[in-house]
Amino acid sequence: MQKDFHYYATYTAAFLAGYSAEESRQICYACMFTDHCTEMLLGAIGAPVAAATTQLQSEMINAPNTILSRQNITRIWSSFHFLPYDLNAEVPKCSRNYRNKYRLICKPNGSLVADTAELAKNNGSLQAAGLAAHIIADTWAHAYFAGTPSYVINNTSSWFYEILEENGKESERKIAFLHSVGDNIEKASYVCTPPTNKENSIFNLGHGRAGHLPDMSFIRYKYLPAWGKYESVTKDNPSDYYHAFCQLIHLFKYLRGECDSFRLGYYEEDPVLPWKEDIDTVFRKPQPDPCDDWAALVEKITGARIADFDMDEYRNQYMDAAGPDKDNTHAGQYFLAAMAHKSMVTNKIYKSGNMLAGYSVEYKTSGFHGIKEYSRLLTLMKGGPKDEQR
Amino acid sequence: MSSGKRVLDCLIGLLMLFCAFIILLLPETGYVVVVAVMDILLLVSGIRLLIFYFRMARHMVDGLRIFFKGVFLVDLAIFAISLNNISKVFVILYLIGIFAVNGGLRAFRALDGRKHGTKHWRFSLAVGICSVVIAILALIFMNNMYILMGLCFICLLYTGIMRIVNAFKKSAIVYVEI
Repeated sequence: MQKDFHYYATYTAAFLAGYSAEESRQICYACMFTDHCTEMLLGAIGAPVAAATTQLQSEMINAPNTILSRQNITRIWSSFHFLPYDLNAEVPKCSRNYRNKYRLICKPNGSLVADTAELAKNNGSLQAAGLAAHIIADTWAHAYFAGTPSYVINNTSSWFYEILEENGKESERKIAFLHSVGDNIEKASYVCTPPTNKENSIFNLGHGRAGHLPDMSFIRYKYLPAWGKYESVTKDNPSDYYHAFCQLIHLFKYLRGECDSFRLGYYEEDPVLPWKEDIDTVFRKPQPDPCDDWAALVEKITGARIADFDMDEYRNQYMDAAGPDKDNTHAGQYFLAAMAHKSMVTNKIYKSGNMLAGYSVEYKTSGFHGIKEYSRLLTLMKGGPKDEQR
Repeated sequence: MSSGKRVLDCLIGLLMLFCAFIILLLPETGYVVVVAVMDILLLVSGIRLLIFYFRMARHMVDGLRIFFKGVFLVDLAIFAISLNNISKVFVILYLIGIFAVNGGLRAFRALDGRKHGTKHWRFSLAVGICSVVIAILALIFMNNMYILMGLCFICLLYTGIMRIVNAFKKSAIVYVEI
């Protein structure tokens, strides 16, 4: 998903769930920031690089081809953009390495989605809510791909068709993938990463081989996922995005304490019904960037326009804050939420017997033995930096 | 990273440093060793592809291509090993290519880092530019055996040191329940 959903749609979902305009704005900012919080940015502002939630292309291309580097990539992408569906999935007659990669395939409504909601609830900050919204929304868009470099899981074949609908009749057309020029929706040609049969190449990370198709709300397509034993998968993005939208409202209501538990597979449709047609129209309109349509829809639903996303908005606030006060800033709260989530997902993957995301040491049983930056999480465990912010 | 892997990485790093100094001190013998290693690497990569097919790729769509590629590489490697003499030009071109691409990518990342305001972009840019300059110099003085061996020495020295440094890095993620 891109800015249209992570910023505008998330703002709308938070507002429909009952948050104020200012609260909704903080949530959608945190949600969108997840696509910008790189190690490079964190290093530049003196923040813990362990809080990185994404990577620049240059960071990935230059990453050394080592186990530690691959574990770092897997931690970031599996935790924040391709949340694994079933960490205990069984594949008959396969090697352990294949099974471990297969277990990282992302799909909506896995148990880690519930864990994500629970962690955001315990954290209590609006930034944690925005981060959880990003992660849960991406489970819909990025379904069937894994957040680890893998040729045998993430590769796609040339058998790739767009499903079109006109006057109630369905038709298909072949999708062409190129590696240099931009997307062309009219000609159904899209940019994707170049093919390589190197299992751990970053070109085989996530949905790179399927281009931006999973991130476009309007498109419906079918293809053969590498892991799918020649059975095709049909991806209906307008429907998936609508489900994601309704699930976010349920998440926000849960975080606000309006429902007792976060239920997997439950979609809060009631607040959406008056706007369902408008939202559906924007989701289904073929266009590369639906942000303008979403901005207009936000204004129609909430009665006010929201400021555009500026990734440096809270940068100075963080850099100017002294010592421990950094954790009380908007960015500081976000970094704590990101590290808490990353350590939770890494721990779950590690405990399932899967080393692809690296080692995890439990503070409760083993004390503090690991990357120093995670010591900041102890402030969260002890009740957070400042209760009034939570 | 497990303790066993750390020890193994350390040993491999030390072995690389040892080979680097052998090449520096005995360039004539070093050339024969470099060519032999490249032949063996080609054979190993073919065998690795075949293993990759049987362990992983046989489960995937179009996985049979990996099997055929593995067979082809093994065949090519056996052919290369059987040749008595490989021109030094091919060897040096291969090494120059690796240097130039790595240097270019490093410089590209450094410039990206500068755009994002990172602190260490100057060092990365310097390393990247040095790599490209070395590659260009090697291309100019291509017939010089000592330059070829010098490239191998730098490659092995850098990789060996980085391997040892990374073996001692803390890597565990601490899980703090909140």
